[in-house]
Amino acid sequence: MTVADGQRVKRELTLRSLFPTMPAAAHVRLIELLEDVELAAGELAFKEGDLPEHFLFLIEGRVALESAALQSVEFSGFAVVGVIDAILERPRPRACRALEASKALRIRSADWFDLLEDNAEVARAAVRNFASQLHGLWQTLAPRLPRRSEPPVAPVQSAWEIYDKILALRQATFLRRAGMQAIASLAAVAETEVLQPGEALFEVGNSGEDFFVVAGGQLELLHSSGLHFTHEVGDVVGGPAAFCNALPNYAALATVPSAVLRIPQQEFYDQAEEHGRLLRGTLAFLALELEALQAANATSP
Amino acid sequence: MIDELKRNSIEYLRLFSARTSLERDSAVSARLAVKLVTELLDDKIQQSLDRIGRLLQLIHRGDDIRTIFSALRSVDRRQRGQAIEFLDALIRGVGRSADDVATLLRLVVDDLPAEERSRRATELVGAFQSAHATLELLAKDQDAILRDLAGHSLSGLDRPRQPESLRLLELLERPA
Repeated sequence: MTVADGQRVKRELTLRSLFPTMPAAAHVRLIELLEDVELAAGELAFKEGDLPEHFLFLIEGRVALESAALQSVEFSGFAVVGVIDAILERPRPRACRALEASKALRIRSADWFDLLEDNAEVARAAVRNFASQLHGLWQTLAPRLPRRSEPPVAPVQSAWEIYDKILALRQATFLRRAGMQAIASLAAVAETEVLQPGEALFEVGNSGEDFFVVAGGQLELLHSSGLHFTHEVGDVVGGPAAFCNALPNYAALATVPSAVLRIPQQEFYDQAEEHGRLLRGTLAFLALELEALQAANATSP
Repeated sequence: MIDELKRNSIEYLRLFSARTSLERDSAVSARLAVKLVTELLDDKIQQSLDRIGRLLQLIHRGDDIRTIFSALRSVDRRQRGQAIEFLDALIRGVGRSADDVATLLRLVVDDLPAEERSRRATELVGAFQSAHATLELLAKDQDAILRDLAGHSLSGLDRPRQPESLRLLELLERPA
């Protein structure tokens, strides 16, 4: 299938608006995978219960995700619609209905994931995009999230073999769907940092180029706005901030004897090219967190 | 391409048989270290199945092999049956020169109980007699991670069980 020149230019411009950091080669491939969709007012793009075989890049008009049981979500202008169901591989909990005449580009979910898995830069951009949305909400709502009331008292080991690192990463919430191959590969490149109470893991102005997973103990995350958040075993320090280049705005210090596994982000995304489940699992983690916070936000007074 | 299909099918059956052997011994498979080996085997089994799917897609570009392979994992028996029928027809189309590959592929995709698939695969990938023997084999695997995890599991088997398990064992063995 080839795309006529006029259409190609239009799609190129749309994609640049939606994904400004996406490499040109990925744009070219993506353009070939898109299909034009025109929706009349009231028309459904997909029904509740449908499998998420496609999702939409809305380029004009207004659509809503609707269900009798759930709160509606509206989209207008440039927006990605229906991708969370594809990431979570679940039937559509809401139908997508055009609220006015709308135009969109449709892509097969499988083609989109192939594109992400073949290109670390695109994968990184997709993760950053999700994490940025999540980070905004998280900064507001994080203090309300339930945390353990007492700090852990178990001593933290100082020598970490690869087997211990695998066990620690297996507890990491963002790696829950990553698969053992990916976890073991990450364990092989992870470096251990053992911290004493009050010792800083990183300060404001840090490079933000690493993920830190709490393997033992407890850490406090601090932001100049006054936000502070307690990280426990299995957490990635900074939460969504770690995935959207916002970590340099934070500091983190151990509140009890702690151990942290440091994984360079570049290594992480290189492994994501090797192990598709790592990327999908990370996106699923971010999508679930985003939904949970959106729900909490909608019900909060 | 046919050679690659053959290689990946044999790899699938080898890993599958190893996993089945570990699961057979519930005392061994319940240990955390062995669970990690099983999880790694699951990943590798899925990876080899994905590779087989991609290779078949290259041979049959007009068919949506990905969807057919997804249907193989469906909980709906009818859907699984349809997917197997379709793949069977597809495999027949590979040609007479690839009869042995067709036989291998059928063993990979057929809707069989795990033990039966392993039994039929024995002449191709060898026998995995016991969980201990399987871990010994895996501890010499080409894959470094699998080798390390299997080696760690083996060394754990020689040590006493976790304290809770020992206490449970004492209770079970105490005369009434």
